[in-house]
Amino acid sequence: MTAAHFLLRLQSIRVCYDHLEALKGVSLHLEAGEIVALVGANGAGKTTTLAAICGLLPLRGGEIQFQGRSLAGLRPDQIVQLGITQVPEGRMIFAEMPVVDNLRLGAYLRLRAGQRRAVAEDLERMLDLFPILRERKHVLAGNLSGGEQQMLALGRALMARPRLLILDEPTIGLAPRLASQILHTVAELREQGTTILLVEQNVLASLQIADRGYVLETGRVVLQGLSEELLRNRDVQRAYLGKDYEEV
Amino acid sequence: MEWSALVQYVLTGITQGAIYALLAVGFNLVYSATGIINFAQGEFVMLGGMLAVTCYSFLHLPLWLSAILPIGVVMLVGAGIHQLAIRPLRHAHLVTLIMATVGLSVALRGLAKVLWGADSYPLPAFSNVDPVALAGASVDPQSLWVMGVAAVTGTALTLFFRYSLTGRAMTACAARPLAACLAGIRVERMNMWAFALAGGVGAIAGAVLAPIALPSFDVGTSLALKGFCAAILGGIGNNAGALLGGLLVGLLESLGAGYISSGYKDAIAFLVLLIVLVLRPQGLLNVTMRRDES
Ligand SMILES: Nc1ncnc2c1ncn2[C@@H]1O[C@H](COP(=O)(O)OP(=O)(O)O)[C@@H](O)[C@H]1O
Ligand SMILES: [Mg+2]
Repeated sequence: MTAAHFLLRLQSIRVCYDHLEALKGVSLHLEAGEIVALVGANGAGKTTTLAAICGLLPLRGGEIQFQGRSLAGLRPDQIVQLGITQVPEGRMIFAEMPVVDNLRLGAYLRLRAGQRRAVAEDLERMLDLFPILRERKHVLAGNLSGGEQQMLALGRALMARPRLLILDEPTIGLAPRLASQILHTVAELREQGTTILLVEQNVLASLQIADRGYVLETGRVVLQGLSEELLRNRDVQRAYLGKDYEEV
Repeated sequence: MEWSALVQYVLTGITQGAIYALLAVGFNLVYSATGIINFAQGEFVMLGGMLAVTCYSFLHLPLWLSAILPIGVVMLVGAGIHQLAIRPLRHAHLVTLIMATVGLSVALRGLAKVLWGADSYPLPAFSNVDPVALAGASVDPQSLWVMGVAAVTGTALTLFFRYSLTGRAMTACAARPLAACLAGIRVERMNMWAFALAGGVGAIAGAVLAPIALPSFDVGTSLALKGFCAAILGGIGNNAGALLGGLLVGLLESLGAGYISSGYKDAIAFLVLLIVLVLRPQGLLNVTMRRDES
């Protein structure tokens, strides 16, 4: 398969914070329509990888391509414009604004481009997708529960109509039932044609909905493969699925 | 105690207070967006007044145009300050940025002195009518202009931030810069708008104040300090607080001058600031805490 077939391609990217090299040559790719999981322990570099993709951090080396085109030198808003949207770690909803305003701001660039009608339609669709948000449409987002806030953050990102949706730990801090509801919604989004890069602490749950996965360790990809292969892998089982030697 | 004197002091206090409230709103605009206390805010007011006078007396433009034109010019000055001085320092410590605004304030004052000298210049009142009598006191029509313009400006800004796309985007940037950035909002652009709006609000205050207090190159300093007191008093970043703080400082100052001594007029605002800072130091500490969490 040639490079042009990849929706997103990271080629040995390196990222530094002052003197700390957080990413030491990370390569990964996504094909259109895939769900790819990026897993790893706290501090492995997952959030840093996502920040680099979205143009928030400069690369010290390597290259990121989206639809065969380099993202080098593009501003974050230009990257959003190309079709990459991220739901950041910790949701980061606009707490002092009502739910609808949060959703509308997700479509900021489309509203700027004058697509008011299409955005209004998508807003309705989003409120259908998350009925709980319709009920609480005019409530200040800060007053929503954790699960509702996560749905709002997801809805806000979808309002940009992304080709590639990036999720940074969307289920963290949620009750198991809510967490699986979120992941179920993510799986449904893929059915509708959105490509998804999913970062999760919950390795088992994320690999269950993902097609493929990458395991990141201290700034390097140490394992990659189809989800079922990774789930069977001894190291993965020991390190991330909490199975000890005997069970393996 | 004479009733009419009290009414007169209160009217003067409200008029001054409305100006301080506009200054406080200017501080809030920049603070909410960037966490910076912009010490050049007083110079925006000075420029508004001086430019209005220049348009009217030297360029012989009509009075209404002379009052409005400076708004656009000082908005450009605000935006320019952001692009040329603040943005290049965006990775610097917040204290560095605040010091930069102190430097800019001195520079603008110096520039004004070069351009206009040390003289004060008059501007005619907006409405050429006699003072209105009220409860034994006389209301200067320009005072009504000051109050009205402050009210309209405050309302317009509130509507802008609540209902316009740019206003909502600016609010989003101030609260959650990272999330706003990921939604495709250009945070630096919005910060530039915050500086531009602060310049505009300053110019509005300067033009409407000019017929009451003749502008000269150095009026910005004490106005900025009073406006800063008002902003801190009301809770920095909060525009309803700016109105409250402005009126409080204006009234205390005017009543203090009337009943105690006009020599203490300025001291009173600073005394209030001291008391507030002693009782609520978190108001100032917020300045440094805000950046760290973003
Ligand atoms: N803003 C930052 N400044 C300095 N170091 C950072 C910063 N953000 C993350 N790091 C460091 O970079 C490494 C990777 O962090 P991160 O990408 O957040 O990991 P993960 O998302 O996998 O938990 C960690 O060692 C972390 O301490
Ligand atoms: Mg992380």
